[in-house]
Amino acid sequence: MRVKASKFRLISVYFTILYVLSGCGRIVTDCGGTPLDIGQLNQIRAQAFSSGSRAFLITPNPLDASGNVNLQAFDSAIGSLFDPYSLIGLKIPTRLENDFLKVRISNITDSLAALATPNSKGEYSFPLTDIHYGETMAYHSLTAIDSYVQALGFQTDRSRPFYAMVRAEGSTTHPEDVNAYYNHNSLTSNAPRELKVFGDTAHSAWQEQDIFWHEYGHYFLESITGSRGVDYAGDSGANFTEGAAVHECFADYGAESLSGRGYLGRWIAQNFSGYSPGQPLRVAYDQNDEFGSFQKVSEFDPSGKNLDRYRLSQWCSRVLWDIREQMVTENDEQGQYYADRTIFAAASLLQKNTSISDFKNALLYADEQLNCGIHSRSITNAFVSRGFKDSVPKLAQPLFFEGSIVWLSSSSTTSKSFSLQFIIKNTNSQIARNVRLVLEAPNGGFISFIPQQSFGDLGAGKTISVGANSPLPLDYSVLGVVLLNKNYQGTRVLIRVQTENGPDSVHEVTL
Amino acid sequence: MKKNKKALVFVFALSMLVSILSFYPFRGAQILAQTGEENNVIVRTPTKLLGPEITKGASKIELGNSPELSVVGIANKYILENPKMFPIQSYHRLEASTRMSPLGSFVTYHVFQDGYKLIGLQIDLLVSNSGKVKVISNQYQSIERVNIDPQGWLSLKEVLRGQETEFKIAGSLDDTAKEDIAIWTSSSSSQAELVYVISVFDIKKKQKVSGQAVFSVTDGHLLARHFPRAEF
Repeated sequence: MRVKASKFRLISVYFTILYVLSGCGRIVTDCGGTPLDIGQLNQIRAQAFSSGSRAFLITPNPLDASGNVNLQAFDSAIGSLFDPYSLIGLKIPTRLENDFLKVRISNITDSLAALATPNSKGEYSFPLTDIHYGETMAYHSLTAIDSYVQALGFQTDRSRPFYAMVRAEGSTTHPEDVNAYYNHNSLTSNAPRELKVFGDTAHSAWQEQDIFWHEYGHYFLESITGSRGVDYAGDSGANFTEGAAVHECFADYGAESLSGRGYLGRWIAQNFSGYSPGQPLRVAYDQNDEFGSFQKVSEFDPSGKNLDRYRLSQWCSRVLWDIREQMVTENDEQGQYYADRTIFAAASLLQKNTSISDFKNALLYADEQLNCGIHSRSITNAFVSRGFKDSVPKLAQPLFFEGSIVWLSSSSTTSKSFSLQFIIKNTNSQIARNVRLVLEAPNGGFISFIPQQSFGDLGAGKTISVGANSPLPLDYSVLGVVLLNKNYQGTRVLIRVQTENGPDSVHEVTL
Repeated sequence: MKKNKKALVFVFALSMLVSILSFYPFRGAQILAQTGEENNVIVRTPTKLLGPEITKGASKIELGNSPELSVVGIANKYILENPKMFPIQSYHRLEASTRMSPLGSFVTYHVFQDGYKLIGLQIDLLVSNSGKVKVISNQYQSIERVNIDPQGWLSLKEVLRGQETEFKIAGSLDDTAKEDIAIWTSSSSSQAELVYVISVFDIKKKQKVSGQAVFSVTDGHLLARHFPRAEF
């Protein structure tokens, strides 16, 4: 009996060794992608560039650098927080630009004489409250993250220059309006890419690295998707879309992962009400809040609470963080790079007007291609454990729709706009996923100006009501325009109600 | 005892076989990737407008000898071999650009008619490191040829007259390099028309957030406006 037991143990050990050697126990693999240069990635992540002009910056922001959550830009303690960094790739040492990136203060047309220049030692060294500091932070942050994604194997679109305006026009008249925008100008063939940072306060956005990394994320996503319109409906004026949430989620994740902190905007958040000192603007790891549950951020609420891209985007960034955490657990030195590569590669596959489902499928495909699919269960679990079901039952009935045209008043003598007041009801006993209203002009005759609106998930028996006496005004509806010099009477208007787990509900009215 | 030995040998042989088979896909993928590189499947340099003209009825595409052309050549071939999926009209010209990624090389086609880009008809293909083609996105539609007759076109100044309450042009009107004429297509309508696409400011907003506006060149009406959703 003892002999048999020891043989059994021997066989068990043998199988375990085989299991590990055979690759089943492989943790992070590199199946089809090019090998990663881990040394280079570590260097970029530490922002420890060995060549280039020197700059003195406080990264990621004074609050994180000091640990003092009450610190403000003009405090005397700021002086001790500066660290030296290298500014890589400057075309000429006296200007913060290279062949692609151009940093400006207010406008693309700023006088070059007004921009930051190095001191007599060739260093870019400015007080935190000086806008030239913001220019330096912009250049350093944007080149660092750009180097990072290139090192991961992603080629970005450099067909047009990228201008970063750190105190964009309008900031001085409205200094309290702290914000940042990225405009890819994808419809035009020659307009530059534009990043604009607004506001000027004791916690300005241009003083925080996360802001530049987040906005770069929007550029990066547009770039790797060939600007096919990941959030085309949102760009066209939709109030809310899953595509918009995915765009924000991706931009947040890039910043959160590169910093390794799992949150962003701790400095800028101090400008907004509802944030306690030191509380980040958004967080990718679990908190005692609603953003961990898909249902709480995606299900339609008559108040319109969930028609907010940032609620869903924060949920989405937690899913991505879970996936990253899994890969870091498997390999604490390199896991973050494999996670970023997989997530960025997935994003490059996203469809026009993308969705959370599309992102999930893209993640599984990217993992299959790059990592032999060994994380498929982790990816699926990350979604499922946060309430995004693996499969949703098909709806037995299309969504019920009832609506009517509402002509909007306008001073225009050449055109007239119309919207739709409507109700959409889910008469099924299952939830309807990602409900959208689409306005189509099958024979022309009008311009579908805001062609789509999204409403998230609609629970069984629940109703979306827009216009008339609803709490949601017509801003949440689609918009069409007719030209008064053309006969539009009798024009066909097609209204399509879409959901991911049921047939379209199609309705026609005439003008 | 002999029986036990035989059983052990059998288990040993079986486990060796399992371990080899389980290792194979990983090694295989690596080998495929290497083969792809040797055959210059991976594009080295991103270049605008790499693709040769693809027209309906073209029977042969030269793949080219330079490594830059090989990925586009594979993508071109795929489009020509799948006319049902890509019913490219004779008056449409496809121009390709490429970008590298760990998944392989993406080839994006923009469609042109008489030198004017058709906005909204983009095709995106992925040529994997092993040379396989995956259709990422196909927005191509066989829309009718758009009449290009500059006789009836309004000038950009005329188009913008009357829009002063909505938009301010970003840049100078005299800067003709910024004037962009294209063909506008819409997924919500079958019609296409020539348009000006220009960068504008929404003057109703406090902050000077720039976006793009699309105006018909023939009657000047506003067809679309795109403003960044990407606020922080």
